[in-house]
Amino acid sequence: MAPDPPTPEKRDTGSLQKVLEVWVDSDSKVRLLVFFRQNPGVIETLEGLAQRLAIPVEQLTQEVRAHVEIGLLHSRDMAGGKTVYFFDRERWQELSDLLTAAIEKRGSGAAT
Amino acid sequence: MIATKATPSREATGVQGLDAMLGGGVMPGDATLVAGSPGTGKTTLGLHFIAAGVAAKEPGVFVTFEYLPQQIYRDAAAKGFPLREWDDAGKVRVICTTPDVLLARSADGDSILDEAVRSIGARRVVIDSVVHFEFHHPDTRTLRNDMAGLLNHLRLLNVTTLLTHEVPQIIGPTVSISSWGLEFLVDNLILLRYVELEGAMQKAINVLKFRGGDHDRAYRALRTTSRGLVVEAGFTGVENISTGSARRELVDRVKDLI
Repeated sequence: MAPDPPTPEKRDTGSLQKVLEVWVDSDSKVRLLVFFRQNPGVIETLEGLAQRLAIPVEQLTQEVRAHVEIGLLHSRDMAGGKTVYFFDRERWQELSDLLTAAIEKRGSGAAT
Repeated sequence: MIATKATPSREATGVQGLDAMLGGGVMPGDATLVAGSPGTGKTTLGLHFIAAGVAAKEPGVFVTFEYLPQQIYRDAAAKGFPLREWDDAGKVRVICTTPDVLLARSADGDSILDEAVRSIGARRVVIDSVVHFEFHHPDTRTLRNDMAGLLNHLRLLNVTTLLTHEVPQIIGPTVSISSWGLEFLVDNLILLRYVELEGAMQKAINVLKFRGGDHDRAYRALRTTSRGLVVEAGFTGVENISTGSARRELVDRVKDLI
């Protein structure tokens, strides 16, 4: 028998856990996130992002991949084998809400 | 923000004084080229156009090839336009990319520009600036064909477009808009330039081409204020403005002598 699907609460907690793991992992991941938060309309190649953020392409490849996995960045294949990346504003809102709720929950737990 | 009101069937540019020069604004669906020397206010005029759209409940897409959105937000805020707020609220989309990325898959109606227009139901588009298309095109013939294709595509999307373009000359008798005929592809052409008047540099605006009927053909003074651009009165008693070195009319100079 297939296992029961996770409840919304479990799914949210799992999602948040993964997001936090990504963000606390490295300084350049945080820089990437801050860059897209400040510039949500940027649509750029890996090389272009590396240039803008002054992070080596090899290093940035992993950071971008991690953000694609948590759904904050999306990729789009272009002509000539080029791939561009862009920010998902809705996913950011979703994650922000989750984070806010988790902080509030923890705060209210500490108070009681 | 200074609101300007378009007459029916016109779309306001949002620049106080310019809409009066245009008889109320530009025609819906038209493409307007704003050409000018560095620092004359091309991008600011684009921001006015987007802001006027927000005021008229016409969402707009602002495409920048050079500046990051955070710089555009900052500059807009300095003129009293809460662009970031509008972007977050889905009234505006500020996109920063390259021309080839922007237009890839245009033939399928699936380009990033198409998506941006669809996502907020945009009625206005600003492209800042066309000069970046020149960097991405090997020859002027392809460039002209692609630009004509883009403008037709934008008309089919039912948006009114404002394009900015850099004019390299700061001052002088000759103004070259483009070497590949961009000025022939657009419906309207607005020129922003510097004019030297008795030792001081001033900005001037002129509507060179307008498909919407009669328009003000005079050079008018253009001033940048903390609330954006303001078109002022014409240069009365001044001649040779189009040379870039204007001077007071002969009769006035003779009067001074006597």
